[in-house]
Amino acid sequence: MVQSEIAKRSLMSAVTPERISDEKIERLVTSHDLAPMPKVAALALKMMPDVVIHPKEAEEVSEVVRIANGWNMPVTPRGGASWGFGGAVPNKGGALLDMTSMDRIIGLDVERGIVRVQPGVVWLRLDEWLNRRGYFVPYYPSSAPGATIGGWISTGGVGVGGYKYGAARDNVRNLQIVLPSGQIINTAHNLDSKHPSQFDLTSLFVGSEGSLGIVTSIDLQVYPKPDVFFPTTYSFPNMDHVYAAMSKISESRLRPYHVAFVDGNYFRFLRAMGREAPEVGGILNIIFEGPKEKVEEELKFFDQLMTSIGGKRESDEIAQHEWKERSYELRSKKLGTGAVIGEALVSVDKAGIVANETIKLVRKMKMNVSVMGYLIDRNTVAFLPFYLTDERRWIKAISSLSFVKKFLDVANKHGGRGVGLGLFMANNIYKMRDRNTVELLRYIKESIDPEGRINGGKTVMFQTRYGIRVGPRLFRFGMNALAFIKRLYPRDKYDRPVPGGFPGGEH
Amino acid sequence: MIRIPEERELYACLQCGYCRAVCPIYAETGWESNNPRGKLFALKQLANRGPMDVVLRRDPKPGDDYKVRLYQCTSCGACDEVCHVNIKLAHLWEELKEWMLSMGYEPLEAHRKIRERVEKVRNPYDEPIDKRDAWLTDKSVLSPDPEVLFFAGCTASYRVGFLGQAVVKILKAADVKFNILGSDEWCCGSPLLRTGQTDVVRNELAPHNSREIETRGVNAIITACAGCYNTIKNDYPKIVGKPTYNLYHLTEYLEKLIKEKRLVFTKEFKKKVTYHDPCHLGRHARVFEAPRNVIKAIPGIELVEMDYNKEMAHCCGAGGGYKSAFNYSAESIAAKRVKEAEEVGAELIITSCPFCQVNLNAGAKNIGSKVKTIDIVQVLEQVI
Ligand code: SF4
Ligand code: SF4
Repeated sequence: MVQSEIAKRSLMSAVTPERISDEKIERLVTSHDLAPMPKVAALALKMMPDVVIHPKEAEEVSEVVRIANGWNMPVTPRGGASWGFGGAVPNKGGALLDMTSMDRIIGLDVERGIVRVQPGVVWLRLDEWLNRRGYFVPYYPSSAPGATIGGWISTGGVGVGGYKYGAARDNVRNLQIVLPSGQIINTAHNLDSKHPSQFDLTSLFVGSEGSLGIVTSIDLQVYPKPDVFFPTTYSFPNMDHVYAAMSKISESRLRPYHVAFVDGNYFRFLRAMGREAPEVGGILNIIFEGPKEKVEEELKFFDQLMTSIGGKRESDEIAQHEWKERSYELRSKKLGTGAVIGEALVSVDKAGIVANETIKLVRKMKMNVSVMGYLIDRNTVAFLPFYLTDERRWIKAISSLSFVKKFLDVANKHGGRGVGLGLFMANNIYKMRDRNTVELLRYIKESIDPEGRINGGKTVMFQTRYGIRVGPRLFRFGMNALAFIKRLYPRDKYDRPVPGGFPGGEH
Repeated sequence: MIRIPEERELYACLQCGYCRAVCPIYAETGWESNNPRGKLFALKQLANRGPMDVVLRRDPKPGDDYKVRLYQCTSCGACDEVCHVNIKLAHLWEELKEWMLSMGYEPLEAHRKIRERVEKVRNPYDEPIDKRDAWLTDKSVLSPDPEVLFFAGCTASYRVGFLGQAVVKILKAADVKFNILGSDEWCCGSPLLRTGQTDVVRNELAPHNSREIETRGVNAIITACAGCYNTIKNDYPKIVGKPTYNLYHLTEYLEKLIKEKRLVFTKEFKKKVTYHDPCHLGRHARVFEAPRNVIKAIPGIELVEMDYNKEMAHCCGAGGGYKSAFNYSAESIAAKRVKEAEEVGAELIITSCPFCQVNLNAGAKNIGSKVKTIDIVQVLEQVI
């Protein structure tokens, strides 16, 4: 019997039979995330795990990790798998821990306003649960109906509501973690969870993309439900106005709950699908919440501000609709047969420049892109270009992926950075940090996980299935080659016609 | 080469997992292959087959394991409701089952039996066809010149005759002239359509029932069963074309009677109740308000909503042939729904589907809950 077979058997003896499987179908369906990876990628990456495990408690995770260690078996934790950088995808097979099985809301500490949850709880479920108790969780990913708490925390947690309430990082009070050694730790103590006096261990693990350990329980700050919750929508003749409006908002002393934009192409995609959508250059959604008087004050102030720079206030009905659609921003994937989403953080004053250069890039790569995004703090915009590709033609699909890399180059050039590393973008770390810092980060990873067993070969380095490291130069060369191939293809077309067409992918 | 139905939809799927979070079967088993996203991903790999599969020695064929996953589905339509890219998932699951069978896979044992019985005696309970109207002891209530035709359905005809009798009592109280199809009524075909065994419905059941209804020349038919209603409303027109009659779910008809003041409730029903939306009446046929309006019209009753209701109501676990094949799991799903009713302090669950009723009561029994489920007509017959 080969070693991996014996390893699998010992894992099977450690977990209740109904919560472990090496059935092919189970391994297949857990071998991916949101990114449509062409099958050819399996030559370089062993994305199919050897065994899938559904743990229920930290102790069980710890036991699995210890056994896997004994057999030198890689372990990949997987949450909702709704990000697109391969952070939840095995690269060398091994054991896959499907953390969605740890989906208990453990309890709400009303005194401290802290809820304790297992990592597999879905954001929307938590919010519904809290709402019934008079609370809400104001920060969450736009993918809240599918994303898990543990998954999003591991990505760093930038999303809806961050403009007012901060990112997940600012709201996680404690994490229970199973370290790569199998030991279980807590990153904070009740009293110092907000103001740690030693190393801020919580922050170390938030955003570490499951590379330093496996999160098994999370304490989150939650808030009493607001009296008023009020979305507004402003339309603008072009995107330059939208970016200017965002600058103005970020300069103001008032802080709305959430500020998000979408460009006109987004609505063109929707119209092409036969949905009703406005013909505008772009829109800005500003959402307010809080006590009635405060909301009224903010609304009055921002209404004047938006009107003064050419914004037109749309009806409350449209605003409500836009707000409801916040988790449905990728509807237009139906037009193509694949979708790729880039994500970068850029400073508010550079948003317009980055957008315009992205358009140039789009033209060069003969693609049609829609751009959306939101303010994450007074200085920063999360920028999400989204384009449709054809998954069925692998060269085209994989070469379209190079757009993500090229787009990040544009963002980098203007002082921005990407947000996810995971597997596919791991080498991008050199664009985010200087060499010394990357070395420190690797040192941290290697000290905690010397064998690189927990989500190894990701985040701080890019490793393929045979443990081959792909350095940034080789990666860059590959991506450039793919971008070149994409340019040799004719302009992207869709199965359904897009009314008005896409004049060179313009906004 | 295998042709996969709706192949394009497989590529439309984002793999966002919104459907995963609402699937009752996934909540039970926890396996990714059991949830809609997983089922689509597995199938996409099949659609995506190519030379790489040869290189990687992968076998691009759906197997029995995939077939079982397809049947582990209550046809609740919750996935359909939340799908990020509006894939008509509920319809897709049915088509895929049919497709598997067309490739020579066997239906599950329980479902095969249903088919055999329906082919033989026109009901899934293996009961004699000439006893179909035995539930109605007093045939004198039938009118030769009816306003409406009551399509009783197999379950009320053979298993829970008291439901049919309650309907009769209510119609009589409102002075509605009605008739039934008797032994000319055949199974509507719902259990066969939901399990991919469509040919009998297409070729025999739907044409027969439609013909029988139309030859009676009535303007309206009513049914008290969520499954029959959904099938006649949504599936029959695709098979036999536009109907010449109006179809009402009993609650829709009663809502009309109440508005017209033909149906008046004379007694009180002093209980705190909740309403469980049957998937086939709610999500599939979009009847959400009529049953609630009828309940609210009952004097003394207090209607409270469970946290998940209407479009987002949780499934009872019985539909799509799931209970007949996976009873233990179906009852476990039901038990969760009963607990939701307990959480909002309901003393009683009211529903309008005999399958939901049976399964919810079984679930309640398993967890020792006092909350009983009864059909809306059983409440109404007490207050007229
Ligand atoms: S119809 Fe219901 S049971 Fe079937 S896959 Fe969709 S959500 Fe799951
Ligand atoms: S909700 Fe729709 S798009 Fe999202 S994973 Fe499910 S089927 Fe795919």
